[in-house]
Amino acid sequence: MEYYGYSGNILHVDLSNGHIRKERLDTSLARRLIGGPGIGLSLLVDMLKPHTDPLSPENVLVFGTGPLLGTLVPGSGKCYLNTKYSMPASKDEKKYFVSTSMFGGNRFGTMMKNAGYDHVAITGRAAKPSYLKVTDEDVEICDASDVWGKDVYEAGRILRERHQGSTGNCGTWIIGPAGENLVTFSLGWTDDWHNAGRFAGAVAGAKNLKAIVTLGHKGIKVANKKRFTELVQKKRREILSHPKYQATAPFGTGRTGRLMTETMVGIKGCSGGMCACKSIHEVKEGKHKGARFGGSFPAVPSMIQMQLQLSDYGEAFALLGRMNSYGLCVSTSLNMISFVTQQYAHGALSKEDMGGLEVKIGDLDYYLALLEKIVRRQDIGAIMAEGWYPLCNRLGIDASTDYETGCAITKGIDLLVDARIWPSLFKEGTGFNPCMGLGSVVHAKAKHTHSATYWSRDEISLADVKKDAEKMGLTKSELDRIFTEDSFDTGRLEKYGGDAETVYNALGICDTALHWESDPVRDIPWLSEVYSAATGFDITPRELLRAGERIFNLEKLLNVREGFTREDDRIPPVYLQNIETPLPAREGDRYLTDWFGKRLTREDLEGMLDNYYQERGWDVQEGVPTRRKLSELGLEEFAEMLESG
Amino acid sequence: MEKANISIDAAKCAECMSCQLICSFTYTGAFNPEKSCIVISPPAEIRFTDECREGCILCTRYCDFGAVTRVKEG
Repeated sequence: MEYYGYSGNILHVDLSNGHIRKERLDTSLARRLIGGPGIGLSLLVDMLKPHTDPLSPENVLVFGTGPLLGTLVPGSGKCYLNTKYSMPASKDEKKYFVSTSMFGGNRFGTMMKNAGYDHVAITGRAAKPSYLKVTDEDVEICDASDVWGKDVYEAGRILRERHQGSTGNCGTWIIGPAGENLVTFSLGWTDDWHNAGRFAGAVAGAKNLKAIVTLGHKGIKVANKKRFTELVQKKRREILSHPKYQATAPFGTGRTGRLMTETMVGIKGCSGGMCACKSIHEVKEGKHKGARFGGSFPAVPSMIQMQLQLSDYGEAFALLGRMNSYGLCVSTSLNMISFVTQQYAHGALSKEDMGGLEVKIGDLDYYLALLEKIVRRQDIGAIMAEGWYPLCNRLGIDASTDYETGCAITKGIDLLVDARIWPSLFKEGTGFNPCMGLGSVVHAKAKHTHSATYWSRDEISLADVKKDAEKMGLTKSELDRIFTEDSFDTGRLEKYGGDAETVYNALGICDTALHWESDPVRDIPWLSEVYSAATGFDITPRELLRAGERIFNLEKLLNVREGFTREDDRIPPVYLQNIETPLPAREGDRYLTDWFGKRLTREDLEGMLDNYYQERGWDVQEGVPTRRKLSELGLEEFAEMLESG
Repeated sequence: MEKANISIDAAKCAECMSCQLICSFTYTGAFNPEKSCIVISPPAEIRFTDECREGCILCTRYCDFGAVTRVKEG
């Protein structure tokens, strides 16, 4: 049969024995779980045994795409990685979460689909450093000895020159020295400018897998070309005519500040265009002239400079560029370096523990040396490389409560965005996610969830929040449970935000791209139409949202099987403490508030969680799906996973 | 090859592949950048293949970053 939207194949690679096989995509599975993490997680249900060591050969890396990736649908450049991640998620260091990384890319995913594969599932461990070449029918495990040890940029350049031919269309996913040396907060790097797979770099490193190279010539077809084109053009017109678009699109994420705009030397986007959120910056003068980094979050250099008390932005650029080239998560590296430096100042660490380093707050050379110790796993760096819980257990302290500057940690992860600070970046009631803190906490891989962000508008009102909920396809009774005349229930709304975000992921669409540039935020009706036109599988908006919920529950089940419960969806204790912000508009202490600015207590937050689980139809005490919910979603065959935690 | 009706500014290219996607979709019926008549070679080279149709400006309509723009007559 001919596939539309989908490439129609799953590639299985066992690095231990070199066995490579192609499996046809089951269309009934695709209809139920759409694609991307939907299919990826379903593969993990079968392939990944519970309680597998994430760094063992038995762990599985599933790289995935959605049926709209590689087309002209705006924002259709998102790829996915499903695996068991390497960061210990519990104090006893025995639990690790199974989840989804979504990441941008231009060529990697597009070329994977053009080679004929929607998903690539990799297991085993290669006997020597290797990379996987996926080019049409030519799939090969190649010798990586000449790129092993090289940073992500250099290794990428070498591999692209080797494989891209005359067209320049070769895609790459690469780990740096941090992943090779099994640093738990290492990640992959896609097509030079997109970080990809926080906490998964070590999983690849443990498999002796340096990179994946993709190139294909098969083409991605759509079922109804005329209708598909009409829908794409409609959305393009909507975005292009949005008042914010022309003002922001040419600047990537450098749009947010004068310094970032002045240092920007280029922007990079994902395939599908319209929103290029990766900007490249370079120091133009001074001691660090030429220091360069690329990324998607404009506040990072400022965060680094402030948190580590560096003397100028050039130093922040230099440190950030080094973190990127090593393939390290910038957020965890920054927070952990800051934490360890504080602990040294408090006497919890000796100079011997630090490997003889001269610890000087604000000294770039010290920070670079400590970074090197992490990547090479030397002295204190070897313990830091194991993650937050191992580090804190070794020191006998709790980073989530004893960290002076406040680092919110959930499931062993420092959250990228502090929910106390985030509203301070914007005017009250403007531009921030009313569910931000909660969305981070309840997700299997605590993160800066995109659910219910409203970055595209200057003014936002309760009516706008409700309008988005209506556009997501909520029924009247669901809306009545969430909204009153002058308020809304954050916990209940987050349930639908999470489902809608999962729909975007399953399709291969970047919700960020559409959030920034178009209204309404979540156009589920349009997505269902464009999915139907692309694949030939008719689906209603309600069914599409239900598919998102199905995938969300499947991911939760994989974690229930690993022993995760409500206890792990822990509100970070530091969220109940004040935090000081130097931001001029909001100078002084900040604290966690609801949408309307009311300070939240622990009881309020636990109440939000109660309502969230209740709206999900889950067991409120345990925070896990019920059999009844699984039956309602057509996931009965997975019910036994509830018993195996 | 060069095209008189299209101006190139490779420094502005975001490598989003939209030009390649619309070109291949229109002329081959599938999204297939390798079959596109416009080549984007990182870090910053843009060129047209010999198969590129004279007068065609489709790629300029889908470039949102000013890297490939239509040269207006006169």
